[in-house]
Amino acid sequence: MAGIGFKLIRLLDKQSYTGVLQAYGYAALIGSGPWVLSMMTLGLLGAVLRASGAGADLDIFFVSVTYVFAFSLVATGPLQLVISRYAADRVFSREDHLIFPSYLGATILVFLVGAVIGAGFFLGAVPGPLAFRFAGIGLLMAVSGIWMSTVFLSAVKDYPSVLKCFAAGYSLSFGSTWIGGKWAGLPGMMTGFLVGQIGLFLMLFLVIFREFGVREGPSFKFLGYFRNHKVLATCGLVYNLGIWIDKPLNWWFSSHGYEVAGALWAAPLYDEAVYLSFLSVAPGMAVFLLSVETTFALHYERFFRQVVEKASLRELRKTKQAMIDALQEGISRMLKFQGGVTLLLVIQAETLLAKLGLGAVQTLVFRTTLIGVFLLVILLALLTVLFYLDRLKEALIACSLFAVVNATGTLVGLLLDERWYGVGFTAGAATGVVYAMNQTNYWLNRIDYETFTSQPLYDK
Amino acid sequence: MNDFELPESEEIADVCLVLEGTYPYVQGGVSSWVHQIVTQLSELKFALFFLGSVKEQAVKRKYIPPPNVISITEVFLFEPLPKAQLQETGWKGEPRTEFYLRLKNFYQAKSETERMDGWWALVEHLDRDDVNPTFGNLMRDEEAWQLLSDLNDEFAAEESFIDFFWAVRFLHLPVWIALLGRTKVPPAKVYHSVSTGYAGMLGAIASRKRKKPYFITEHGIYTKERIAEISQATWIHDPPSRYFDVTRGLSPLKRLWIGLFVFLGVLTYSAAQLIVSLFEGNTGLQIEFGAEARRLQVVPNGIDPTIFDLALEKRRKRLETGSEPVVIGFIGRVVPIKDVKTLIRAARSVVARNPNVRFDLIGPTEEDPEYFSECQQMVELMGLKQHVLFLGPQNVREILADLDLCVMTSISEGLPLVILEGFSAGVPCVATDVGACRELIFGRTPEDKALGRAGLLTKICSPLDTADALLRVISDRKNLVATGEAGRVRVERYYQQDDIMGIYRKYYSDTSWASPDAPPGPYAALDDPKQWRKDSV
Repeated sequence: MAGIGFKLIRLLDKQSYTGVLQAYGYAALIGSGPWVLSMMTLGLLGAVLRASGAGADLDIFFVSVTYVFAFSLVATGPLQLVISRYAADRVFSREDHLIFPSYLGATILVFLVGAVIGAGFFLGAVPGPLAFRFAGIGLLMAVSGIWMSTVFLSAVKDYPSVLKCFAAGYSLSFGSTWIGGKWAGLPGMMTGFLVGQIGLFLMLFLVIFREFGVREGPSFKFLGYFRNHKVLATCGLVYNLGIWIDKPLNWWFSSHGYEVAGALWAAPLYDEAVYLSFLSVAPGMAVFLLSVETTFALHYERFFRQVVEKASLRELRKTKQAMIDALQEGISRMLKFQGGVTLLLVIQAETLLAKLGLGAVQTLVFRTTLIGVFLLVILLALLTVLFYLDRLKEALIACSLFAVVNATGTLVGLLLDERWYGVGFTAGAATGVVYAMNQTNYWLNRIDYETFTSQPLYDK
Repeated sequence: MNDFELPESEEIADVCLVLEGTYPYVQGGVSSWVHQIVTQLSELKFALFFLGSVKEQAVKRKYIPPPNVISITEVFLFEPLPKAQLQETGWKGEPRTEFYLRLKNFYQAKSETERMDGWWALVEHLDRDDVNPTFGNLMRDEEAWQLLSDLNDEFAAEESFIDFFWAVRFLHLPVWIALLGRTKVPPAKVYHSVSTGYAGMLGAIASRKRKKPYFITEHGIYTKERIAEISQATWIHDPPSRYFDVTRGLSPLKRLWIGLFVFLGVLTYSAAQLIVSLFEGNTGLQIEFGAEARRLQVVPNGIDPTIFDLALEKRRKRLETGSEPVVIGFIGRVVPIKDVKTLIRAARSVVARNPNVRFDLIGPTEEDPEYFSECQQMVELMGLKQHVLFLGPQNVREILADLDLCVMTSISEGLPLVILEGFSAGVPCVATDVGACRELIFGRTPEDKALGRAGLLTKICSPLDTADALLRVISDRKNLVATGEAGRVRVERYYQQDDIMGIYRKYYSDTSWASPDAPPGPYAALDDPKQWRKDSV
């Protein structure tokens, strides 16, 4: 018989439709991201410390914690995103049993990194009692472990228990810091804070163990992911840099920056105001988690489920529209809530900061960075969506814009006068938002086109 | 055999045969026919253009082409595309907009003529030097996506989109590979394709490009075969109906696939000046699938009966001495379309009534191992191991002498060569009433019918009917010789290889096919097809 007709069955058999559905669960990471927590912690800590009366020890303690946070975030940033992608992929491919071993592996890794950086910094560049310096090293390790745990917890999406852990962990930290300070000065404070953070780490560890625990040793397979996820890793580095970059610039290059002790520098005029502004993100974050993370993600997952479950193009378009609507709704809600809070704080800044004993310059910086933080929350929501859409390159550009504009703006601001302090940070966030908004809009509108046309013709 | 290499040649062939999944790599009726043509018309230079599925299925040549085959060009439609074809070229401007405009016009044509015009406009555009889209462009260009969504809205709005999407991709992939191969079709004075489908498409394009005549000879009806395949295909998404609905036809995706092959058929038929089928039963189908009646011709298969003279003599002598047992032969591949299972069931019923009968099953068994093993199990379970023998491939010229009678239970056939071979050796045949079997066994024209019956016809899938017919024929052993010889005379008169080859020789050499649009000339090789229709049945 003439004719080959079509011997496609072979081709079709190989073609697994499920290839369309990818694991983007890690997008949640940014939302519950360690960086927000760190900033809020510093804001809270600064306010509490200020209320308990200033002193040289307190300053050194506060600056040390700041450095610990900065180091741990920038150093673990790349790993945070890559490991969360790894974990999300394991959940997707139903290899849940590999999650806990990789959590152990990642924790060991960041402990090591924390120990090395901590030893180098606290033993090599910071003067002071040995106990304080060793507690610093321990703190860097514990905090890195906490960030790694939050990454894994974002996969659980059990935000209430995470919140409870943090509430308990911070109460403990503040309590033990206060007791330690009374009892043994700076080393006591540092050790007390370390004890609290270790407690927090253990609580988070337990939550993860309850969820994913298996009787298996640590695994380092996730390291292989760095090879194929370079953009993701860079993204993790750059956005943490973006959030931090304005602080050291102020410490080192501003007229008000000064050496607290050895390599520990600070610019309280700037720092404390910024950390305080970060405390204002709570309502925005809540709305973000509730509306973007849940409603948008719901429609997003629905879209891909429908694709695989043989929905018609019309239904897919409907879900796509629902996705767009959910995002618009979420953003506008964030604008309302966060905008309201920000506006209130801007108006009340003077009275509020006066109560905390902060001056006019700090009020100015506070007002400027309140708007910056407000924009940063929006940027965070958009980055999350870009991550969902697998637009890593665009997310990286948005982060880079934020980091670069923040850095240059801050430097330029330092050349001018106090009125320009914090403008770099806010302008950076604004630039990032404008770019990310455009990209989100563009790529979300072509999600159907991208989803289908990017499917390879042949299996690799 | 596969060492056989033909000299590369820039010579212009007299005839370019466009072959899809057949000669020289696949055994079967079409291939023997092609081999016959190229061997018998040895004064003509042939170029073969072979369209295959994948390379691995075209390693060993089953036939050695004679020296007058000056070239063999191969294109494989289901081989992975080269990398360059998977990447999108950054093309823009008029070539791109015009391409998508023409593509759109082609798909959204309101009538058959409009679609055909759209097709040629598209091919013409692709022939331009500055128009070089890749398959990657078709996959990624936004215009292509827009067109895809528009077509989805128009034809399959309610369908699973992922299935529609992949169907569209896989439907276009082989067409695209074939289109890329259009420049490789060798120069020739006449193009002749042996099916519609992709081969028909390329024949049509080559003929139009080189302004040479174009013929097509169809053994089976490609469009019909594809429709049957697609209707039964389980790999095309066909959502189960929630309620019983007799008006509900095939799913839109199946219609999409069928649409492709129907289109390729119409394209071939509209481009060919001459459309040949093997027997009159198929001309009606060709008309149904878009062929213009005045271009149709019937040219059956031919055979040289004298090569079976020895077998004929031997058999006659054997029957005269009344040798036992009675041997009934099946000659063909052991595959589902031959419905060997019905034959085995018939054998049980024959053996039950006449234990002195043996069935020799002659032919390759490796094509469908699962089916073959099922057949073997049936034979065993029915206790027929002594009576039904699988002999594998045998020399047909020799083995025909040992057969009293041939049997065929095929569900579908064209013009089966084995019947002609059997007749040449004087072996009558009991066959299902499919393809040209009726014309062969009962005769076609009144004069032909007057030669007598050379066997019996049976219903398909009816073991009892086949058994009854077999028993009727063998019960009268004396008549076995006479019945068989009616077949021999029929072959000598109407299926002589030399006569048939003469018809093709005339087609190929005639100069009056000058313009591609010339109507079929005065080549009423046999009788008027319409006349046959009245006579038969």
